[in-house]
Amino acid sequence: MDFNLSEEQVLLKQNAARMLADTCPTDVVRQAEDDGRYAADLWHDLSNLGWLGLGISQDGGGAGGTIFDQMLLAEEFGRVLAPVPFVASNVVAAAAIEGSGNAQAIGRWLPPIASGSRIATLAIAESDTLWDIDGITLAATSDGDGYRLDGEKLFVLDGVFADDIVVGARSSEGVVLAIVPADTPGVTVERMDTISGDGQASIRFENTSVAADQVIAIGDAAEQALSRAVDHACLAHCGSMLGAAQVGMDMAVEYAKDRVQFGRAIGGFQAIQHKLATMMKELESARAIIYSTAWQYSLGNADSQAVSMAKAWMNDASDRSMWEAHQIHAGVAYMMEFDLQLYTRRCKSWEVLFGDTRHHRTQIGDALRAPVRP
Amino acid sequence: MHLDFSPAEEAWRSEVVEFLEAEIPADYRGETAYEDDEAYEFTRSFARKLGGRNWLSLAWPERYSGQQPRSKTEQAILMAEIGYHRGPFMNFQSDPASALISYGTDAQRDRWLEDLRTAEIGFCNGLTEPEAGSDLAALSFSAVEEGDEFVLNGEKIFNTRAHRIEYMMVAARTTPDATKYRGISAIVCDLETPGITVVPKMDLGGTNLSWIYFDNVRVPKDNLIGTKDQAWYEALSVDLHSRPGSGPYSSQRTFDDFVQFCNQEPVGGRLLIDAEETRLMLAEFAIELEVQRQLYWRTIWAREQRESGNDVIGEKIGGGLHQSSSSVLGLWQKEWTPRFMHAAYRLLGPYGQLKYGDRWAPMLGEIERGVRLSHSNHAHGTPEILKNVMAHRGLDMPRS
Repeated sequence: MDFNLSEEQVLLKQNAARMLADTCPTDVVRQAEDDGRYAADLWHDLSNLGWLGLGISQDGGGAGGTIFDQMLLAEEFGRVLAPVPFVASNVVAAAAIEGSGNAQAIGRWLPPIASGSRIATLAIAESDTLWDIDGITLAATSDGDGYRLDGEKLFVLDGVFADDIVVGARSSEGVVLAIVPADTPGVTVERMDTISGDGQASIRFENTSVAADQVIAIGDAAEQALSRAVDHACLAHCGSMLGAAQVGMDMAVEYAKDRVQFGRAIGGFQAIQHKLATMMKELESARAIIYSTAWQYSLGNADSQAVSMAKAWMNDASDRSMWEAHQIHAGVAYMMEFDLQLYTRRCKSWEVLFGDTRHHRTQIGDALRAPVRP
Repeated sequence: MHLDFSPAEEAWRSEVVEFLEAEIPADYRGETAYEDDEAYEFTRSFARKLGGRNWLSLAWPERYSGQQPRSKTEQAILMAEIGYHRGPFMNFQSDPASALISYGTDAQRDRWLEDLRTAEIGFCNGLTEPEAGSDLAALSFSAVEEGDEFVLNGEKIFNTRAHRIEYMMVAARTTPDATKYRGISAIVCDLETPGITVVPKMDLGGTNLSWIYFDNVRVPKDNLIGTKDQAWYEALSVDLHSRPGSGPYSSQRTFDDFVQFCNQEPVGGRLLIDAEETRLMLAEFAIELEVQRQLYWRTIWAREQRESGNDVIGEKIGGGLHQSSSSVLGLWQKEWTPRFMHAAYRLLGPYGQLKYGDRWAPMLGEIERGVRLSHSNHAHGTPEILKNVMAHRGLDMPRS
């Protein structure tokens, strides 16, 4: 066994951390939220560094690499809450397109995503279903060589910034995966007002025409591509949550050492020490399971079940650690001017996107009906 | 990264599993493993079989074991599988052996190591006293030099299995007015020595722990292990992290048994697995077992790397391990087992109470016993003590 990262991965993390410390202080995060935009300058820098193509195949105009590399980068983005649509576009939408196995689609749609010149996202959840691909009902009706789409998608990650929407729909031949530019007639994108102030959108499709060459997969191929994209989304958000929650904990550690009450640093009180020790346990545990899972998944040795375990644990670890970070800071962190709330609110969104804890526990619990003895 | 066992490690695992499946009966539950003579004879013969294969000495230098030392990972594989197969843990307390190897004299090693290797003798540690529990260095057990002997007086308590085995390595204060951590020595006593009274007391888990009283007990000075007054930094320091434990693998076995039970045996007219509540509960624990499994192998690996003088690169960038990863794993085990056992107990309703041997007992009483045993999570430090250690050493919090 060898748990070390490769030299390239170490360098990637170190370089990303250094670059983001300079270019993405929390004023950038606050400004982007106030403006309802992503950080375009930062996006441009990331594009120049080639990081947006990491994890995208060379056929798709990317640099190669895997979801594990993307997760490492997402962790660094999570540490600074980088307000960029990396996960939506370069991880999730790209995974769906790549996962379709459709060479023509890969050659056409992925290069602009890999370079950052276009932003894509994946539309999957609906009002009657969330992340179960079987439950997709948005209608794809045959129309000549292509389809017409009717229905509404919810919780589309960074949907308000998207140029292209990868959408899962249901036709008489099964699930259809199509790419629809956001400016197509009949597409209405509306911001959903979330706790994190991010760019989630509801997207309505009304009699929206999709030409045959916009359909990238049908039936099993479409379902597999969607399933892969959801797995990648979970792993990337695990990275985001780990990075953000670790910063929350680091802030709490520093505060506990500095804040003096009753004549001593509050970190000298066991009540505070035990909270911090528990946070350390939960985040070390999270790091162990998400790194291993993403690595094994990138080699094809882990499946959606393994991803569900990682996401369920990371959701809870992030939730509980961020809560305790607030308890340790008490009043000061309740104020919007203090940065901890920026982390808290984003973690609360990541925790429920692409499967909350109950969703993922259900996947695991249902599989335990099978015999378990090896 | 590379997260799988090598072919050689896999082969070793298969060898271990084959041995354990042959030696441990399917209905063996370890109940009273140290108490009635027949059960104890099984425990002892199992240990001798391990010794016969040279498996009790995997970590020893070749000159004492006659074999190349196995890696930490290979040692862990043995421990994990014994845990999973419910092997009785007799004589695995190899801490005194490690102390002898590191700090003993050649004469001491000649005298005891070979018999430890083959499980012909057993050693226990004499640490805890009435006023020195979690705060071990507060011990007051005294050893006074008289001629060629130490004269021992005091009381050692909570000694697991001491009523069954031959020797104790006792931690004694040899210089009463030294500072707290100095002045402690490690001395080996034959538990048959005159002046020693062993009083076994039954614990909640079904094992006798012994209260051992020393009344002017004379032992040769030759039995001192290491430097006088320095045991805290020598013999006693090896017991903390000297060998891999079985990690989450005995917990994993109980969990697997429980899942099988939920799938196969109705309770109150229906299978537990048919209730969503059960499946969600099982999922929560399954996820936490996977977390512990990942932490376990990371911890073993990191320890192996550090002992080989390798840099654990990931440590600096969040990809590796915190220094306190052993404490993190320890805390998991102290908190997980009680939570799981009590949750499983609640799902079993009145059947959960039934003990091994009762014809209605589910899972041969495994959960009933598990609930009792889970109260032993104070051993080697309560969860709260572990959290203190993590906060002080891992996070640099001020001392209380």
